[in-house]
Amino acid sequence: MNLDTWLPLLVVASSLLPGLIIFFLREDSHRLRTVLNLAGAGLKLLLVGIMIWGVFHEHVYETRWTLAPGLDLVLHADTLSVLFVTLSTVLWLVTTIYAIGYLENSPHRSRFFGFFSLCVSATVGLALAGNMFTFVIFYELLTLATYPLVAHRGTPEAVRGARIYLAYTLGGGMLLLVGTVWLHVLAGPTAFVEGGTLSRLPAEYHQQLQAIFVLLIMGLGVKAALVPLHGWLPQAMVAPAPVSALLHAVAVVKAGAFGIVRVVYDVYGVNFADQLGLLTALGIAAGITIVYGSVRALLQDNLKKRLAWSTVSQVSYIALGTAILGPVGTVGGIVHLVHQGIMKITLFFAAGNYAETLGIHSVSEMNGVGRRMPATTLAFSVAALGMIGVPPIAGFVSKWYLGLGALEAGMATWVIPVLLTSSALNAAYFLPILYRAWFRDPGPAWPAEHIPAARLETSAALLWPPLVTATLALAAGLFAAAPYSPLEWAALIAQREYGL
Amino acid sequence: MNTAILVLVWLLPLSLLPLAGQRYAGWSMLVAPLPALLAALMVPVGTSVSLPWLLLGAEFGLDETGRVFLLFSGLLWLAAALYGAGGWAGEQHGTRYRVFFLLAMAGNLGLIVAGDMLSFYLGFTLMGLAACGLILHPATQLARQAARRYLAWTIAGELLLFVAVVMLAMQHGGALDFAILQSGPHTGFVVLLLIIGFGIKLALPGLHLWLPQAYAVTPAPAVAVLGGAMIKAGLLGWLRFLPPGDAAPGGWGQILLVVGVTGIFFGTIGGLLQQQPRMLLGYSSISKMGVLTTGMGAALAWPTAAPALIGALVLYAAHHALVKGALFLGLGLAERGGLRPWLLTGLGFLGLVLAGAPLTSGALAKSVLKTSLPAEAHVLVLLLAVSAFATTLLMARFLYLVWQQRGGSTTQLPGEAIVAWLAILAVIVAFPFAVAGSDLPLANVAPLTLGILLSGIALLAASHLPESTAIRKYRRAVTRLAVRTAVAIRRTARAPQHLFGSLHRAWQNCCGALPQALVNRLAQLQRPARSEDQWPLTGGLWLAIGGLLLATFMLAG
Amino acid sequence: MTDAIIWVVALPLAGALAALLLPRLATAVAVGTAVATSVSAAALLRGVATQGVLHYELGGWSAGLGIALRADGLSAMLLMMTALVVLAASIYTSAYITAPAERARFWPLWLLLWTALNALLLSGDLFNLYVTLELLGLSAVALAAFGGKRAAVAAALRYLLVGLLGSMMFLAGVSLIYAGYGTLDMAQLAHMVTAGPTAWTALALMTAGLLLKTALFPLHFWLPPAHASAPAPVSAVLSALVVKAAFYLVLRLWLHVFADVVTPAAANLLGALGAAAVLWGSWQALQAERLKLLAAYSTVAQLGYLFMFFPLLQALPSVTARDVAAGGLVMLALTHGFAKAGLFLAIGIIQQRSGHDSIQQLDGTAQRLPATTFSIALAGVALIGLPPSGAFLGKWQLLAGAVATGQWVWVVVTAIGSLLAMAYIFRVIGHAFGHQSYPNLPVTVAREEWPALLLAAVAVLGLGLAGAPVWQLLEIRV
Repeated sequence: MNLDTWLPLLVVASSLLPGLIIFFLREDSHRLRTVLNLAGAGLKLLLVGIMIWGVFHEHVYETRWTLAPGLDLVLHADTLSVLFVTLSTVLWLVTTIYAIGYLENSPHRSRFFGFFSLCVSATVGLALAGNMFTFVIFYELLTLATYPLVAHRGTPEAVRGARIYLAYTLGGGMLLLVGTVWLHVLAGPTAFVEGGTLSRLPAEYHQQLQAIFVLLIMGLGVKAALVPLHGWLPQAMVAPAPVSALLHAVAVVKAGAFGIVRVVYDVYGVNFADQLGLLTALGIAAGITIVYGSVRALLQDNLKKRLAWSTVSQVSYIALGTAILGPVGTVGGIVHLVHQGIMKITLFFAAGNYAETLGIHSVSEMNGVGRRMPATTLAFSVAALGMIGVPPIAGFVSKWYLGLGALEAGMATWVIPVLLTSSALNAAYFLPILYRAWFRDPGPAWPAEHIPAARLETSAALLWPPLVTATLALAAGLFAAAPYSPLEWAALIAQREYGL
Repeated sequence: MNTAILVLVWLLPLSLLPLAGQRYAGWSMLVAPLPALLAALMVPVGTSVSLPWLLLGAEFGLDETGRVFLLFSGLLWLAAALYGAGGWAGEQHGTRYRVFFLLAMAGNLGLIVAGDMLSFYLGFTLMGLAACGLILHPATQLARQAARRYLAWTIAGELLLFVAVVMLAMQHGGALDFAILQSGPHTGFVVLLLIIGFGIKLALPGLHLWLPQAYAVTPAPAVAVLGGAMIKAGLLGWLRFLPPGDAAPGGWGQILLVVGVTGIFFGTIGGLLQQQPRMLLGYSSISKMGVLTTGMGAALAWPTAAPALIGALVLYAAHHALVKGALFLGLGLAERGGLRPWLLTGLGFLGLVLAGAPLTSGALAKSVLKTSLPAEAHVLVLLLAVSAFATTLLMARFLYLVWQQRGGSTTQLPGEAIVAWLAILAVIVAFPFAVAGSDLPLANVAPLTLGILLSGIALLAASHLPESTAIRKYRRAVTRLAVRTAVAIRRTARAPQHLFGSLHRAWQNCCGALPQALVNRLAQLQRPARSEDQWPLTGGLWLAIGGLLLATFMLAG
Repeated sequence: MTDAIIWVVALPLAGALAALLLPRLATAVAVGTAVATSVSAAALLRGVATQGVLHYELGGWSAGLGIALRADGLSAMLLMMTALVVLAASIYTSAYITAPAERARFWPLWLLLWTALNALLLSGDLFNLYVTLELLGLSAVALAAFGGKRAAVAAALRYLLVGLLGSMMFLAGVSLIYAGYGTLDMAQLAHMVTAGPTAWTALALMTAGLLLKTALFPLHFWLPPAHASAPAPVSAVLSALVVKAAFYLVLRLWLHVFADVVTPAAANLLGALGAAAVLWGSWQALQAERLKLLAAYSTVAQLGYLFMFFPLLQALPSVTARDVAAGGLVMLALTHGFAKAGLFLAIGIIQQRSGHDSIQQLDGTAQRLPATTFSIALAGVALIGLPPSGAFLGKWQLLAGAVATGQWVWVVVTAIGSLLAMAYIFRVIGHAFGHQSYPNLPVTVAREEWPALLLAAVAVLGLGLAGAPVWQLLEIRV
C-alpha cells in the first residue's frame, strides 16, 4: 500500500464513501448520518494534513488510472491543489455542522447529505486533478452533484432556479469539453506542470491556442461568474443557506476560478499567455465583472441576492490576479481564493442565521438585529469589513498584493481604479447593512421568529460556524506574515510557478 | 518592558472590548489610555519593537514627535473616558458607544507608535471607521446625515492613502518601514495623494465638508477626542510620510502654504457666520489646521528650517488639541446642565488661551512657531498675527452664542465629567510653564486687545445673517444627482432585458408563427394516426437514400 | 473454450423450447437459462481476450459451404452486453409480468429473440446473417405486439412491414454478392471485394435495408409507436439491442467486408443522416409528453451519434487514430445499450405504479420511488454523455476525431445534441424534487428496481471507469 499512489484517491474517497452510504440510510437515522459526515470530514482533514506536509517537502503524490488510450485519470497533489483542498476540507467541516443545524426537522435529509458529500468529493477531485481531462470530468461531476442541492426544497422556484443553474453550467461544461478536446488533439495529454507546457508548440498553432483559451475561459467563466456568464448565480439563491454558503465560498464558484488559475499557470504558462495577449483580455473581463457585480449588488434588497452579486464581483479578483503578470499579482489572486472563501462563507452563514432564526430575508428587515443576535452580526460585520478591504481583515491583504502587483506589472492605470471603485461600492452596499443592524431600532416584531431567544441567540450548530470562520478571516489577515498562513502558502505557489 | 508598554498602547484598548457590555464598563475604560501616558513619560525615545508575524510585518517605535503626540492624545482620551464613564452618552446603547470609543482609541494611539506604513494605515483606518460609529451614536436623522457624509469623505481619503502606500511600497521594493522613506523623493502623484488623503482628515478647505455637521451631532466626550486628538493624525501622517528635505520637492511646500493660509481665513470667516457654537468650534478647528498646514508647507519649502518647524508644529498641535478638547467638554457641560458661572468663566479662559493671551499655551505655541519660521517667511509671521486677531473675534462670537443659547436647565451634572474638565483645564494652565519654565513670551498683546475691542463693537451691531441658502441649494443639487445616477444605473441594468424583450416581441409578431408551423408540419410526419400520408413520404425518402448511397459509391469510386 | 461459442446460441434456443413445453415453469426456466447464457458469454469473452478470434464450424463443414461461427473482440463485447441486459431484463420481467398465461407466451419469444441476437453477432457469413436478422425481426415484432392492445398491434404491424422490406433488400444484396463473388463467407469476401458495380449495388441495397432496421433518420418513424405500446422489458431490448444489431451489421459491412468500396462521400452521407438524427431526435424528445416516447426518440438521437463516426473513420489518416475512434464508437454503443435498457426498465416501474408515464404528472410517483428516479438520473447522465459514463469517453473520441480531421460540423452537432439531451433529461429529473415525503427505505420492489439501477450503474460507472479493455479487445479481429 504505497501511500504516494493512494493518498489522493483516499482524500477523494473519504467523503465519497460516506456519501454513498448515506444515500441508503433510512430517513430517520440522524445519529448515524451525523457520525458518518463528521467522521468523513475528520478523516479527510487528517489526510490533507499529511498531504500538506508532504507537498511542502516536495513529495510526489499521484494516482493514475487509464480510462481510454491517451486519456488518463490523474490525481496529483501540488502546492496549488493543496491550497484548494485544504480550503474545501476545512470549510466542508464547518458547513456540515451548520447544515445539520439548519436542516433540523426538514425532509429529504439523506438525499441532501448524500449529495453534499458527493459535492465535496467532486471539488476535492477537481482540486487534485493532474491534467485537463481529469479536471473536465470532475467539473461536470460537480455540476451534477450540486444540482440536487439547489433544487432541494422542491418548490417551483427552487426547481426553476436549479434548471437555470444547470443550463448555464452544463453549457459552460460543453464549451470546456470542446476546448479541452481541441487542446488534446493539438498538444496531446496536457498535464498540469508549473510554468505551462504549451510554449513549446510551433508558432502556426498560436491562433488556435488563442481560440482554445477563449473556449476554456468561457467554459470556466460560467462557474466563476464572469460577466456575461454569471446569470445563474443570483437565481441559485433559492437553495438552502448551507448550499449557498458552499456554492459561493468553496465549491462551484471557486472551481471555476481555480480552473482559470490552472489554465493560465499550469497549461499555458503565464509568460506564454502574456505573449499571446490573453492576459489582457482576461484582465479586462475580470475588471468589468468586478465593477458590474458591485453595481448590481447596490440595487438589491434581498440579502442573499446582494451577497450573490457581491460574489460575482469578488471572485473576479482571482481572475484579475491571474491576469497580472508577476509573482506579486499571482500571490494576490491566489490568496484571495482562500480569503474570499472564508469571508463569503461567513456572510452566508450569517444570512442563513437571520433567515432561520428571525425570518429575515431582506436588508430592510434587518433593523436592530445587532441587539437580538449580536454574535452573528459581529461575524457578519467582520466579514463585511474584510470584503470592503479594511485592514487587518483578510480581504485587505489580497487587495494589497493585487495593487502592488499591478504597479509592478505596469498595469496600474486601470487596475487600481477598478480596485478603488470596487472597494467604494462594497462600502456603499455593506455599510448600510451594518448601520441598520447596529444603529437602528428593531420594528415591533420580527418577520417570523422560529427560534426564540434563549441562552444563545440561536441554535449552537448555527452559531458556531460563522464565528469560527469570522475568526479565521481575521486571523488570516492579522497573522498574514506568520508561518503557515494562507499568504505564505500562496507565496510558495508563486515561487514554484515562476521558478524563483 | 518598554517594548511591552509600546505594544500595550494599542493592545490594551482592544483587550477591553469584550468587557464593554459589563456593568461599570465605563469606569474600567479608564485604564485604556494609561499605557500611552506611561510610554510618553517613561519609555526612552528610540525604543522600537518589531513583530514580523503581524499583518505583513509590523514595527512599532517611539520618537520625539510620537512622545508628544502620545502625551496629549493620552491625556485627552483619559479625560474623555472619565467624562463619559458614568454613562454620558446614554445607557441605552452604552455598549455600542464604548465599543466604538475603544476601537477609535486603539486606532488613534496605535498609529502614533506605528513604525511602518501599514501599521499606521491600519490605525488610521480603524480610527476613521470607529469614529463614524461615534458620530452615529445619537441615532437621529441629523446624525445619520452627518455620519454618511463623514464616512464618504473618510473612505475616499483612505482609498487614496491606500494607493499612495502601495505606490511607496513598490518604489522601495516592498519594504514598509518609515526609515526607508528617507531615501529618495516621492513621485509627484504620491505626494498629491498623501496631501489629499491626510488633508481630508485635517479638513483642508474644500475637503472639510464633513466636519461641521459631524461636530454638531457627536456626543460631547467623543467630539472632544474627535476634534482634539483624532484630527491631528492627519498632521502626524504628513510628518511621517513626507519627511521634509528628502521626500517632496519645494514646490509642494508652496502649495501647502497657500492652502494653509486659505484654510486659516476660510475657517475664521466660516466660523463667524455660524449660528451654533459647535459648528463654530468646527470652523475654528479648520482655521487652526490651516496654521498647521502652513507650518508644514514652510517645512517643506525651507528644509533647513524643518527640524525647528516640526518641533513648533507638534507643540502647536498639542496646545490646540488640549484646548479644543476642553472647549468641547465644557460646551457639553453647558448643553446639558445650563450655563453655570464657573462654566462660562472656564470657557472664556479657554477662548483666551486659544487666541493666544499672554502666559498661556497659545502664546507659547505661537511664539515658538514664529521663531522657527525662516527669515524669508516674514509674510507668514504677519499672517499669524492676523490669525491671532481673527481667533479672538471667533472666540468672542463663540462666547456670545453660548451665552445667547443658554438653556434654563439645571440638570445635575455628573461629578466625573466636571472633574475631567477641570483636570484638563489644570493641564492647560500648567502646560506652558511645564514646557518653557518661566521663560514665557509676552508678545501678542496687540492683536488680542484689538480683537477684543472689535468683538465688543460687533456684538452691539450684531445682525442675524441668514443661513446660507447657497449651501442648501448645493446640497439639494447633489442629492438630485445621486438619485438620478441610481435611477440611471437601474435603468441600464434593465436595458438589456428590455432590449431582449422587445426583440422577442418583434420576432413573435413577424415570424413567431413560422417555426411553430414548421415544427407542426414536421411533427405531423411522425404521427402514426394518418399512416396513409406517411408511407409515400417515407418510402420516397428511403428510395432516395438508397439511390444516394449508390451514387456516392459510384461517383467517388 | 470454443464450446462457449456454441453454448451462447444453443442455450437460449433450448430454453425457449423448454419454456414452451413447460409453461408453468417458464419463468424459472427462463431465468435459469439467462444465468447460464450469461456465464457462457463471459467465458466466451474471456476466451477471446486470451486466445484471439474464435471459430466454430457447425457440423464440421468448412467455411464457404457450412455455417461458421466467428467471435472476435467486437462481437464478444456486444454479446456480453446483450447477455447482461437480457439477464437484468429477465429478472425484472419475472416480477413485472405476473399472469401465468402471459408468462407462458412471453418467455419462449423472449428467449428466441435472444437466440437470434447471439447468432447474428456470431455469424460469419452473409446468408446466416440474413436468417438471424429475419428471426430477430419476427420475434421482436411478436414481442412488440405483446399484450394485444390495438395500438400495440398496429405499431407491431408497421414494424413488421418495415422489417420485411429491410430484410428483402438485404437478401437482394446478398444474392448479388453471391452472384458476383461466389462466396458468402465474410472473411473471404473481405479480401475479394473490390469497387465495382456489383459491390456498389450490393452495398447500397444492404445498407438501405439495414438503415430501415436500425431506425436511422428519416427512417425511424416506426420506432416510437412500437416503443409506446410495448411492455417495458421489450422496449428495453428493442432500443438497446435489436436496433443495435442492425447497426452492428452496417459496421461490419462498412468497416470489414466492403472496406475498399466505401467512399468519403458515402461516409459523409451516413454522417449527415446521423447528424440529422441527433438533432431531430433530441428535439422530439424534448417535446415528448410520455416517458416512453422520450426514451424512443432518445434512441433515435443516440444512433445518430454512432453514425457520425463514419466520416471520421474514413478521414482519419493513421490506423491507430482510426482504432482509437472505433473504440469510442463501440464504447458509445455499449453505454447506450446499458443505459437505455436501464431507463426503460425504470420507466416500466413508474408506469406500473401510477398507471401512466406522462411526464407532466410525474411528481408524486417520482418522489415515492427514489431508487427508480435515481436510475433514470444515472441513465440520463449516460445518455447525455457526462462523465464518468462510458458515453463521455465515446463522445470525447467523436469530438477528437472531428477536430483532428477538421470536420467541425460534427463538433457543432454533437454540442447541440448534448445540450438538447441535457434539456430533456433534466426536464424529467426536475420532477423528482417536490413535496412528497421521502420513503424510509429507498428501494421498494427489489427485483424490479435493482436491475434497472445496476444497468444504469454499469453504463455510468462500470464502462466509464473500467472501460480501457474495450480498446484492447477491439484489436482482436478477423
